Order: sequence, then C-alpha cells, then structure tokens
Amino acid sequence: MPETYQYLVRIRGDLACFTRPELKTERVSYELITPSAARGVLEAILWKPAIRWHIRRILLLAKPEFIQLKRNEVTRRASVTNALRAMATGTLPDYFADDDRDQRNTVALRNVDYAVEAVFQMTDRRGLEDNPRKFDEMFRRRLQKGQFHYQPYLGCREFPAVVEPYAGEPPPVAETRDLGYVLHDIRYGPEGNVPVFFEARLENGVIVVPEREVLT
Amino acid sequence: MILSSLRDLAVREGLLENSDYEPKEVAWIISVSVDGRFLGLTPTVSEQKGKKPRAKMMPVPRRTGKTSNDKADFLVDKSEYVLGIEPEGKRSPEKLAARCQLFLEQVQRAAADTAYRELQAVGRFLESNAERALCTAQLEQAGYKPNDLFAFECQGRMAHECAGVPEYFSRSRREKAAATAQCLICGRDEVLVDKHPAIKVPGGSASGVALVSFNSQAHESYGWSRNENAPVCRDCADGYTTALTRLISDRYPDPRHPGQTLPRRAVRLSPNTTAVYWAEADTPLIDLFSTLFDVPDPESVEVLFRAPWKGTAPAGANHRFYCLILSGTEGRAALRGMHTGTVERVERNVRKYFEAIGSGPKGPFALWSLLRSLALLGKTKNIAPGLAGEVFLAILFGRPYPRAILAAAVQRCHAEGKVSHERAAVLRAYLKRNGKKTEEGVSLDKNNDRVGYRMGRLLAVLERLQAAAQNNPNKTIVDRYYGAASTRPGTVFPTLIRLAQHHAAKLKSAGYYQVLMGKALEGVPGFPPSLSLEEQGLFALGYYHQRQEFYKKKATEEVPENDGEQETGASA
Repeated sequence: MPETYQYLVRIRGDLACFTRPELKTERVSYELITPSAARGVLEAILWKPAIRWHIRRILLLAKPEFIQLKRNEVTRRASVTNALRAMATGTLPDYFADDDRDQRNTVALRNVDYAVEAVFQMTDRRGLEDNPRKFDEMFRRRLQKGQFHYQPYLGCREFPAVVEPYAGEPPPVAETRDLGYVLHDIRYGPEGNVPVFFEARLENGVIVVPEREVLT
Repeated sequence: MILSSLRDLAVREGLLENSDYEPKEVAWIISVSVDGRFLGLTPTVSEQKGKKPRAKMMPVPRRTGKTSNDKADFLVDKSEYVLGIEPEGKRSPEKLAARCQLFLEQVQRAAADTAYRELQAVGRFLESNAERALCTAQLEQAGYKPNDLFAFECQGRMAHECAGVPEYFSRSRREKAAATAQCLICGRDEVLVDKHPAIKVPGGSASGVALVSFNSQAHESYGWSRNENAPVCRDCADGYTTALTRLISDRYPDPRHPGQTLPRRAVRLSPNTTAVYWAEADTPLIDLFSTLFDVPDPESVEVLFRAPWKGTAPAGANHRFYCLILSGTEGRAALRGMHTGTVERVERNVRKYFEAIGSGPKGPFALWSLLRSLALLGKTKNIAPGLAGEVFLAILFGRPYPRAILAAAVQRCHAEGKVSHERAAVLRAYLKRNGKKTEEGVSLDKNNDRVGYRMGRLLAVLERLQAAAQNNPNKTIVDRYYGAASTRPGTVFPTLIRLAQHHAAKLKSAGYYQVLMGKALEGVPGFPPSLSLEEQGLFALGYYHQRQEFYKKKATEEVPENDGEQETGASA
C-alpha cells in the first residue's frame, strides 16, 4: 500500500520517562521519546488490528531537562493464579503494599515536547471493508477532536501526554548530537520477546528512525 | 548513551587493555620454588607518610562478586581459599577445607590444561599439607586480615602474570558458547553476559554493587528474567564497570604508565552520593575540577582565568562533558542525575563561578567551606541533603542556584547575627546569577540603590557609630537587632536612629557618621515594613560591604576629626 498517509503529531507533557532498559530498577529516561513510546501514543488515539503504526522521524521541540523523583513502589507483580482463583471463588486475597515496599528513584524528563512523523500500514488482519482511506479519516478526526481509546502516556502511565496535530510551531531545536543506541521497539513472539536497538543521531533536532521488521 | 560513553572512556584511557584483569590490592605474596616448596612470604603493605598503610595494587584475574556460596577465584584469592585458614575463626573447618579444595582444583585444572611450570609449582605447593603448614605458621605470626589477598610468585615472576596465563584465563571466561543477541551498548550481535561486574560505589556494600540489576519481579518485564532485561555483551559490561570504578576511585592505577595513578574525576557530595564527571577529550582544566572544589589552589584558579586571554583554547572545545550523580545503597547503585554539556561551556561556567564568589583571606573559597557556612554550627553533616549536588551541577552547567542557598544564607546570618566572608560570597554568587541586578561587586557599591542593600549599609554605619561612642561594647546593636533589622526594618530602624542620636551626642566626630547615614539613606523613600528574601540577602551584603569598607579605611587612615561636609546631617 502506498504510504501517502503521513501524519505529523505533536506530543508534549509535563513529565515523561522513557526508561532505559539497562536502568529500569532505578529508572533513568532516554533523552528523547523512543519509537515504541511514540507508537504507543498513536495507538492510544487509534488502533485496530487492521493497521500497524510506523514511526519515521522524531523532532525534538524542547531541550531535554531531567528531574529526579523518589517514589514508594512495590516489589511484586500481580499474580495470574491469584487473579484466576479470585474469578472462580469470588474473593481476592489480601495484599498490603506496606509489606512490600521498594523505594525507587526515577530520573524523568521535564516539559517535553516532540513532533512525530508516522505512517500506518495495513496488516494481514484487515477485513474486506478495511482500506487506508477509512483509517486516515478516522485518525485525522480523532486527532483533531482529542479522542483516544485510553489516555496517551509518555513512557509510564502516570505521565499523561497532550496530543495535537503539528503545524510547524515550535521549530525543532538546533542540536546535533549522537545519542547512542536507543530502543527501537520490541519484537514480540511466542518464543520470547526480543528488543531491537538503533543508533540515534540527532541532526538539527531531527532523528530519522530506520525501518525494522517488527511483527505485532 | 551514558554506558556507551563510559565504555568509550575505558577504551580511551586504556583501561580495557586486559579486560579480564582488574587492579586490586594484594597484601601478601607467597613465593614457591619450581617443585612446590615454600620459599617465603612477603607482605606488600607500605607505609606512606600521613596516610593509612595500603597494600600494593596490581592487576589480578577478575574476581567474581563474593556471595555466601563457595566460589574460588583463579590464582589470587583470600586466605580462606588459598590456605584454608581464617584469622577470626568464623568459619567451620569443613567449610574452610572445602574452599581450599575448590581453589586447589582450579589451579590443578589450569596446570593440567596448560602444563605451565609455574602453575604446576603452585599446584604442588597447595597439594602438600606440609608446605602449606609452613606458610600458615609464618602468616599467623605476622598477623593478617580476613580480606587480604594472596598472590603467588615463582622464579621471580608473579604466577598470574606468567606468559600464557592471562590468555588461558580469558579463554576460560568466555568458554560458554551461547546464543548471541543485540547488545544495547554497542549495538552488535554478541554473546550476552548474565552478571555484570560489581562497582564499589560509596554508600553501597563494601564488596561492590551492580548498577544494572533486576532483583525483584516488579523490575522485570516482557517475560525476561534478571539481566535478560538489559542485554549487554561482556566487553561492554567490562568496559562500563571498569570506567565507573576508575572514575569513582581516587587512586586508580594508570594502565599505560605503571606506577602512576589516573587523575581524579569524582567529587564526594555526601556519605553515599558521588558525582563523577568526564569528557570525551581530556583537557588539563578538567583535571583541576576536583581540587578546585575541595581546596582550590590559587595558581590553578589563575590558570583557569588566564586561559581565555592567552588564547589557549582547549583543542576539543566542542567535546561532550558528562556528569553523573551516583548514589549507593545496600543492594544497588542508583543513578540520580545525568547531565551533559560541552567542555567549553563547562569551563566558562566554572570561571564565572570563581569570578562571582571572589576570594577570601586564604585564597579562593572551597566549595565545601561555602556550603558549611550555610549549615548549623558550620558542620558538614548539617548541610541539607541534595544541596551539595544541586550547587555542584549549577556551577558546572550554568544553571540557576537553588533558592535554598539564599534561604540558608539569610537564615544563618540572622541566627548568628553576623555575615561571614563565606556567606557573603554565597550571597554574591546567588544574587548575581538569580537576581535582577547584574552587578553585585566584591566591595561597597555606592550606586546600589536597592532598599535592602541600603538598610544593610545603614546598620553597619550605626553599629560603627555605637562602637566609637561606647568604646566597643560587648553587646552591640547588631547582636540585638540584626534579625529584626533585616526582616522588619520599619519597626526597628526608627528606634536605632534615635539611639544613634544619643551615641552621636557623645562623640566629637559625629558629623562623619551623620554624613554616612545620609549617604546610605539617599534616595530611599522610607523604611519598608518588611523585606523579601532577596532583599534580606542584599541587606546582608550591604552590611558586609560597609563593614569591609570600614576595615579598609581603618587600615589606611583615621576617621576625620572635624565635622567635614555637613550636607545632610539629618536622616529620614
């Protein structure tokens, strides 16, 4: 399908944390939005099994500033067996967060502002009625109105994002730097999930995201 | 980017030339003969003037992080493993024997695989109980500590440095052939490492903590366990951990120039927080940073100032400069902050900082003495947590100083009733950067018409007047009234001025002071009911400047006896 439907979306927020995989326990954010996080934001606005979003470019509209937070979190995850048992019996087991305390540090980004250039492609799961024009119109409408399936977030769910169409203002920051290897996305698969990294080069505030074959 | 630039640092400084070896302090060297007989035991601890006696640092085969399980290291280990003895009697004899056996077996395996004479010699020594007993006896006589490391020497060469042994060790480390995956630091497909080497971060446990670790369920995701969450290849893991160790340690041996240590790159901000910094290209000024903050050497500061005028621009002006704030806790090291800029800008910022704070009687102020002046009783432990880090970053990266230092400085002046040199320097630096007026000089600024500044000057003049009239009393108006004068001048100054008239009446040369009072109040519409925090800072500065002016005058001339210029003898 021709990639004629290209969108420029502005994503901003007060706080963001695009967590580096190697520093996940005491979270440290990447300096820019990762393609997978940008894809998440777009999917929050519109996603159907028939389409798959691809991020082409990321524009940095504000210089990255870090802020350090210390938060009380927990060490355990919700257990699937407990949940299933609760469904069957009707009673949930007790869980007290105070028994499970884990103080974790977060180095997050402050006052972030990005513009993301993305396209979507049709997948194998499209139906007979699905065509790109339909999704294009849906997306434009939803973006304009501010509609979403769930609140778009910036890396972590507690950092909501404001999403709007991008018209060119503000312009990208004039910075050129090498940002090292950044997470591109995760290749999900039945045998295991594999992370894929790409070399991010910031040129005059623009990062070109290479294509990778990522299966959803 | 952080870890990859750390790894680049390691490569640049040659720390990874032999990435399977790491520098450690080895306290004892056991000499054995070719047929395994015990020849002698040498301690390597050397007394250095004024410092703790420390053992010799040498590269030894990389040790595994110590756990409570029994795991022997190759050729260099503690007494429990090497000789099966332990000074404090904490371990059971079976455990010691088991550990000794593990060590022996490793050496035997190596000896069998390589057939090197030195390894065989060490193996024979370890096998024979008699020889070990000789060594043990001598050791117990000399006295040793449980963490002392032992290395072997045969025929004049260290066993772990003999030809072929390092290669053998490298090979054995990489033995496990496993599937490859993309490393997130170098981006290449490599064999991943499952346990990163530990880093000795101040505040963390003594044997080292990991920076990259996933030690509970909540830290893992996507079905990965432990370090699968962060795929890193062995070379990169060795690279970044070695670089961090080098940055944190204050005497890391230079691998390219044996016997020398690499320049310091860390500043200790609190017992468990360290700031480390490095640049992509080393300039001599960065080497000075750690001394600048502890005990600035006047010459170094001179060099820093002279650089722009001499045109000695650093070769790599646009190279990146990184600063990390690391803090250690029992199980983990946490990265609390990461900041980056260009080398040129950082140098410029440090220069501006030194310009702003000026110097005290002993030379430029050390950052620590400035921060201590803001703490209760001037003690380091009373400095607000996190303040040192914030100020350090503000200096390096030209950011606004935290408002907390203004509040602390004003509060301390208020509580102690005096403005010390250090506090004046802090206020000067803060107000210059964050204030609305751009010039807060080092000495009295007669044209400064900010109300707070004038009030401070007035207080100094009144204090001086009282001292002259009452011949330096023990309790001056400043002791009683500084706090109120700086916060609510409207309520206090009328009283003070009334008192001043009494003082002036007692004094012959009162006219001089009347003139000064007039000058201080020139253009000031009235006594404000209260002063804001910035104004209180200006008050302190005005007071300090006026007092300095008096000391200067006292040194050079005497107070004029006659009532010279009677322009405005009156005050508001």
